[in-house]
Amino acid sequence: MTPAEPSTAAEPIAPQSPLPPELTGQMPFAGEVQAPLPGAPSLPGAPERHLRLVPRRTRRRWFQGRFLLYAFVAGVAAVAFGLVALHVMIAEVQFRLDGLQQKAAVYQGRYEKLRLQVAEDEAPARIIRVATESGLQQPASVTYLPAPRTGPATSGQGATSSGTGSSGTASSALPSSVPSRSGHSGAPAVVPAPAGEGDWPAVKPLLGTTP
Amino acid sequence: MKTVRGRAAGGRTVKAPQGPSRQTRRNPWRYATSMVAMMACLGGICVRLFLVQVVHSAKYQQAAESEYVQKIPYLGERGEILDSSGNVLAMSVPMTTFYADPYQVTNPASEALALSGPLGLPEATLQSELSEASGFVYLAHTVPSSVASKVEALMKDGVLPGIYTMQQSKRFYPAGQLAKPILGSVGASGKGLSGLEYKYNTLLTGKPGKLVEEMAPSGGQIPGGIKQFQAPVAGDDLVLTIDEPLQYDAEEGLARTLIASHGQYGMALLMDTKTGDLLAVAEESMRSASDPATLNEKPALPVWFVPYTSSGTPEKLSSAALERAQPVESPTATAFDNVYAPGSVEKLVTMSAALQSGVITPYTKVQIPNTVDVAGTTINDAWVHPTLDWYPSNIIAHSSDIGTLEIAQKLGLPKLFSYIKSFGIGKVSDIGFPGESPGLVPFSPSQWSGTTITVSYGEGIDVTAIQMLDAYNTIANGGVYVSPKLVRGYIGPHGREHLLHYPAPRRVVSKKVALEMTSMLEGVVTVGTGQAASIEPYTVAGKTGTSLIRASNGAHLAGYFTSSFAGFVPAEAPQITAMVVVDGTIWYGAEASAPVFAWLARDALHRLRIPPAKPQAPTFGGPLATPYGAEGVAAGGLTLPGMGGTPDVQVGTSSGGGQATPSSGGGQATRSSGAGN
Repeated sequence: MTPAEPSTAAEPIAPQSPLPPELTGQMPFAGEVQAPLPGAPSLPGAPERHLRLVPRRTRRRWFQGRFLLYAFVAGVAAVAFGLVALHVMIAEVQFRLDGLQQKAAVYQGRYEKLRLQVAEDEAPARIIRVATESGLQQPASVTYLPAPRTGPATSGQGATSSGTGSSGTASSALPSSVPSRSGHSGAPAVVPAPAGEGDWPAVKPLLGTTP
Repeated sequence: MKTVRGRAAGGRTVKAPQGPSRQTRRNPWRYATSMVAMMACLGGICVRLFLVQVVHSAKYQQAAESEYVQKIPYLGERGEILDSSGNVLAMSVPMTTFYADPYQVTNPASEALALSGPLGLPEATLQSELSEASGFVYLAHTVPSSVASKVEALMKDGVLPGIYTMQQSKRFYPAGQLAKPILGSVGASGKGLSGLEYKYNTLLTGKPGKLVEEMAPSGGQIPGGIKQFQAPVAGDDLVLTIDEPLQYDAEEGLARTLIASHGQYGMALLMDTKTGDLLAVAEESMRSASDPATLNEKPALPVWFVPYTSSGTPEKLSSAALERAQPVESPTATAFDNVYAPGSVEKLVTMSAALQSGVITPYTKVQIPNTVDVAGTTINDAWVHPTLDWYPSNIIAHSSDIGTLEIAQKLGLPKLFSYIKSFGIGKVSDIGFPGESPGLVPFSPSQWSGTTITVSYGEGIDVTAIQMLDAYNTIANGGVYVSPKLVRGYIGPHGREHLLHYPAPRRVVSKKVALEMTSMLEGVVTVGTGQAASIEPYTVAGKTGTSLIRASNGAHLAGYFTSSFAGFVPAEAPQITAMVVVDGTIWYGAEASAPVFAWLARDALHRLRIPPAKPQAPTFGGPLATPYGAEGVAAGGLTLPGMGGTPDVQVGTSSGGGQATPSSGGGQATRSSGAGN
């Protein structure tokens, strides 16, 4: 296609485009005729042909360009959609994570409260109170059972312990004739307990063979 | 500007550049001035922009963020305090705290009505809080779980718009009042205020975290806004040397003797001889109007002990009066911050110093008159006696003040104070407990007077219980001073225990002197003033002490004593060192403190599974203490006038307003009445 004649000053100025009209999609001007098929002989007397067919290669490029544009738009849309989907997924997972953290905090709190309860139940004051309420009492005496000195215990030697009636005292196997380190005679092995009643005879049967 | 239309090569209309207009050409100054003014304005804007955006950007950013960014601090969970076996003595548990955003509360009256029941708060108070012109107001701190669940159920039902919950830690002491003066307390902000909670606050607190999030004006979180969570780091756990059962045992024994002996306050300390670990530190006092902190305290133990009248009969009290009559935990750690005149337990230091210095040997006989005159002050022994001729073992066993004073005069004050210092008396212990007192010891010669020598038997000197315990532990350890320990270490975030480091042990007296002293202290329990501390078949070495109490005006309170007993068991291989002090009691050390020592020592030996040693011949070759009257009257075989009578604690008269001299009375109480055997 040959470029158009420059218009005069009185004519309206046509909008200029850097692209050829076939690529801008503009309609041919009025009075123009359809181009003959390529290779067709021009008829005698026919007006001079100003138009020519767009080469196939150019047309293909035009379609390719449009395709790329559509593909780009579609790609952008897909990426945007993907980002939204990813954001939704992240938010969803974050919600789940928050929920799990909250649940973990609840369970941690419950664990701490149970530990506190265990600690309170193990406190000596509570144990003694419960023991006292259950009827347990301090022994009237403490019996020491020294291990046998040599070989199996024989009469008069080794570990012996016996209740002695309602007083709750028990004798020890420590021979009184052996002087103590401080030079004074041996002492009885019965130490008065600080408080309580002498219930050893009542308790002893419950203990069986153990002292 | 004049525009000239023309057609360019492309057919476009262009404006032809022209020179300055006529007006401009006529008044160039106006043009220049306006340009300068515009440039100045533009420059000012640029400068201001620079200041705002660059120089002060942080400040404005902070101001902006404060409008829409919410920063919620998260305190790290406070570490636990454990006893030596891992039993929990103090722990923090997250509890629910309720708060409100009054701007979002739609109906304060109805919400206050709904909340008042479960929270147990006055409706009017809640309504006024919910009507405040504020975006945040606390309603109830750390409420119990049962209460929290009730309110949360209401919140789920949508009855309480604008009411929210948060988790806050609350400090619990599962063993109740047990060891409270040692553990200390924590304020509402979670900061340690006293005791070990205060001393190790940094260790226990950990590192705080925070949550940063963008909030909409409506109070909700802005979706997609910034949200940063910095998790707090929990504090380390503190592991004490205290043994919880023994601590309870010590507190029970102390409570019993405080009630029975009409004492005002007392301390009972138990120490592992070899390591210096404090196994129990019991500190209790009776309620007193002069100490308001004791009036509203709970009883130290949940078990009530029946008080006795001065005649020894049980008092008949109502349950409320009975509860009020029970001892409470001391407001402060009196074993560390309270000083008292130690009385005769101090004789251990004097005698050890004299033996170590070579001033005396166990065979040195000391002439003991009934009275001596020191710098114009007449000092009497605790009981009237003729001149005695005693070995040091009998002086210790029967607690002769004058005998000790005679030895101290041979030793001299400089050496005496040097050994006092070596035994750890007169300075803060290595524990460094908050508020710990170094005691009142006149180390400087400028503080000495003619009667300063009375420090040899525990008068004119004030010590803390922990110092005296350390002194006895030194002898128990064969003359080696071991630093007392209250905190064994701490458990870090990875569950590993880190031990605290204490100064290395140091020798104070030789092993020979320590053995000689041990033998003398055994005599106190076998034949002397401390027979109430006997726990046969174990061997006990210890010493009684009784001192008069000084009132605020400096005068002594007649009839009231500070009674103490310090010692260790088993004497032949010491494992446990213990000290009991009862202040303001009407009983002597032999009666008020020695039985508690026996109580503590026996239970500690059982708990630590220490069997009684096989009876053996004495290894110490020195003269052993003998029962009173069996030895020692200097001449003539006089009858001992003090025998059989009630002993008197006599105070010497000072001609120059000097120091009064009380005497040890524990031994005489034992001799006269047999109490405590």
